[in-house]
Amino acid sequence: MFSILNLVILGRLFYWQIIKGGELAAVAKRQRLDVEETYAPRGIIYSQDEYPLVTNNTSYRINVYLPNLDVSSQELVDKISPIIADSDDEEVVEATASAMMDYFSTGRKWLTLNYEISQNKKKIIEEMDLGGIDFEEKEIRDYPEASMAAQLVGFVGSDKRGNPQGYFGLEGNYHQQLSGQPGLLIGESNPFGQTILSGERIEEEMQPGMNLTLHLERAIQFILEEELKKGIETHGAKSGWAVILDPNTGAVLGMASFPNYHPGDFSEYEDELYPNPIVAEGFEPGSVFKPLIMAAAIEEGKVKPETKCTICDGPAVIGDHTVKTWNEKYHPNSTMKEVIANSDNVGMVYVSQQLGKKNILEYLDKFGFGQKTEIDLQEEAELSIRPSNQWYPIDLATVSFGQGVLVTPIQLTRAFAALANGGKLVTPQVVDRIWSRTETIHQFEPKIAGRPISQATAEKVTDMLIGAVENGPVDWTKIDNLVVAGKTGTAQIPIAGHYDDEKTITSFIGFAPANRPKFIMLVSLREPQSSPWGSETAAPVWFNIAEKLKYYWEI
Amino acid sequence: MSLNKKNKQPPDWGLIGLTTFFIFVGLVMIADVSLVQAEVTFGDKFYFLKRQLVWVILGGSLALIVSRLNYHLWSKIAKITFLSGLGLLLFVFLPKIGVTAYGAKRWLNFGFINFQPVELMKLGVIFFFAKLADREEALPLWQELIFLAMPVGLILLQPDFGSAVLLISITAAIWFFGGKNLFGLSTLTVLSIVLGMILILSSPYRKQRLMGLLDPFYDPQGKSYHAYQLALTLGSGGIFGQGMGNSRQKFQYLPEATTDSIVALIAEEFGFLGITVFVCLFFLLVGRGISIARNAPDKFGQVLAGGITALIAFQGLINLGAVAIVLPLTGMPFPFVSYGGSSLITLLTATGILISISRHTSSS
Repeated sequence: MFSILNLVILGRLFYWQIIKGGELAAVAKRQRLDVEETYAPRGIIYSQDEYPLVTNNTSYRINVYLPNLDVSSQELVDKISPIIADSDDEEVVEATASAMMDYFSTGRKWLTLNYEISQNKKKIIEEMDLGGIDFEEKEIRDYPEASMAAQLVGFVGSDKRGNPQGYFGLEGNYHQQLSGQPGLLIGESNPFGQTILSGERIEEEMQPGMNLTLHLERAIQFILEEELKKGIETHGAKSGWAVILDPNTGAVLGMASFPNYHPGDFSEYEDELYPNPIVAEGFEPGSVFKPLIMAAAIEEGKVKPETKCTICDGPAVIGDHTVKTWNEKYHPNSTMKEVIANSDNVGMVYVSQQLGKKNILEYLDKFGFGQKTEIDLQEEAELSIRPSNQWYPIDLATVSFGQGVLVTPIQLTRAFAALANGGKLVTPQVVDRIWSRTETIHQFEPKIAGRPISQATAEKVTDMLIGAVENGPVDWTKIDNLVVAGKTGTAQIPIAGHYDDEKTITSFIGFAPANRPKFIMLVSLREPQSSPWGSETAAPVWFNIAEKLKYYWEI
Repeated sequence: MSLNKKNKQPPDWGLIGLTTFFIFVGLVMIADVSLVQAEVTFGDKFYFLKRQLVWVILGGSLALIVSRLNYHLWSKIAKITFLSGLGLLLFVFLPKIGVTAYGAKRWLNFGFINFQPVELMKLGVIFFFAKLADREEALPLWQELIFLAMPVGLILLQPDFGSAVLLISITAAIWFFGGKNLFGLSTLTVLSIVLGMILILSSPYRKQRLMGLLDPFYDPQGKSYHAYQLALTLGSGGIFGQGMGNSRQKFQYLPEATTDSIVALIAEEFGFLGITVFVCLFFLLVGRGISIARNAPDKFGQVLAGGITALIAFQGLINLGAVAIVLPLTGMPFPFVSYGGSSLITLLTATGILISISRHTSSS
């Protein structure tokens, strides 16, 4: 009988040790595992002129343990609400105080006051020596330049687990590099939290987040933002954007759009403001698209700058549709150069007819439309071009003057840059290099994505564009000693399948100095009230900026 | 009954060897397990080891002396021992001398010595019922049951469920070796089961203990904490064990590491293989006891040896059962291995008696 009992016991032991052994051993291990994480500071984002655009700071929250408080709750509230309210205004302080008192009416002994306060405020409160006060630390992002380049930069929120997560722009695109790696110390401890010295020990060094240096310069960005904002206000536009690239390297020298938001307070703004419209939103570009189609036609040898338009004496009829010029003035037998200078829609229809469907679609692709530019910002949209069998004659006509096709501002700008840099399609790049405290991790080199046209073609079209600026409707915005090659654009906005009668998106795109361009810039205004025309709205803004740039760069 | 000098045999070396082995295992494990706790609590790493050594020497000396004595001596002092045991069991309820630990009154404090009277009672029961079994005319069953009820009742009052079961088992074994009829044995069995059911279902404390047994995960941080930690300890042992000295559960995770649960730590360090070897050797030890009982020259010798063997065997089983989470935890130390003077000295004395019986093995 004794043996039976023994066997029962052995059997049970077998169960625990062998059958369940692995599982239980794992539980036992977890029980004594002590994991300590060392926080990795997030990387700093610097402008090209080495100023931090986005950096880190510590924010604090106040914890109150009532039994240890040396003063009454009311006294506490009275003492700290002026500091929290950050104002001398009695009413504001009152409001803060009464809101704060709510915390103390829950009956709980241990409370967290949900105010994010700075290090200075924390110090002041600490020095009051009120007892029962404790501070919780949190790393937050800090923006020394406030909202500058907000949508470019993006913001840092939390992911599902409550860890910091970058969203949009650079914070989103470079989240992994910026995050670094927290340090890990894994050891074994007893139930009282004391380390078991003979136990396992795994140590992983903390890697701080890597820093980014951008091509963006504060001064340029400042000029851009200031003038753009002024322009939107002056012309009563709903919104607007502007982007400056180095046409030879694709480096993003400036990028602004309004309305924007403050990344430090992102949750207080509408979600629609977060995506950067320059990379995330498509629009029908309108007349600024014309030089690209023209370049394609010249490259294919279908037209030359001197070629005469044979259908420009009146509106063009394509099927059920009629294409008119913007001012309903017609220029029979105008040259291609004049077509550009006049921004003649009918002339462009002629060009598109010479090119033909196959070429048009081919060059759309060559110029990078229908693909991402691969700019290093998270929310770049991929806008597809309709497949060939969905293009009808009217579409081929309208695309020649930039309607019926959806592009992002960045796609447009870099396609246009091919005219400025001798025919290359560059990849736009915001970040110049990624670096750690000790070394450069990665230096970005300019990337060429394609060669849509030859240098000769680029030069010919550039010449047309110089002419457009000099002789076109924008002649009153010229700048002394700066030769600008550019194009105005006034695009109708498609709403529910047809074009709105009044609303437009106006643009001006151009580069200067025309023969050896230092920059290419696009400025657009959405639904300006003052006038529907690009020449009267976007162009002046463009030239205001360009003038300041001229002085800054001493061109 | 005179003993023929010619019948004197050498003592059972198997028993001696195995007992020594288990004492040795105990010392090693105590040293291994208690180092940290001893240092923290007493500032002396070897505190527990030293005390166990003292008891080993004391108990061993007693065993040595006793092994040379004629075992019929115990029949003569059976009544006294039994009564003294009862008396001391009553003493635990006295305020000054009785010590309460973990909600149970099992200890007596005589100045610098803590002593568990139940240990003396175990010997008392063995001697007394062995003597009764040796009578020409057996006592009526009900009388024997009353005699048994006395110590069992007092023990259940402490409460000490495990020891109560142990005493009943020992008595049953003595009756078995003494040739008691089936009726007697079955009555005892039935009564015990009924008693057991009453006790379990009446006390919430015991019911919880049972829940803790059925499932260590019932309340791992609370009521079934000990069972939970036992399961983790056993699981951590796996097949081959963590290796000597490498137990992690001994770092204050497993309660009663030096006493009740020490065998679990053997399982953790030496694995299922190790513990199987351990159990087999224990099996052999008990086997030696049974063999000595079978070959004893007279009835008293048989029943006495049977009772002592039952003491060792069942005490071990109850402890092992608790460690394997088959039985509830009852605070029963494993013979020779667990830390604890009362148990060690009592068992060594009892072993000495066994040895003394083995020297008079009948030649037939």
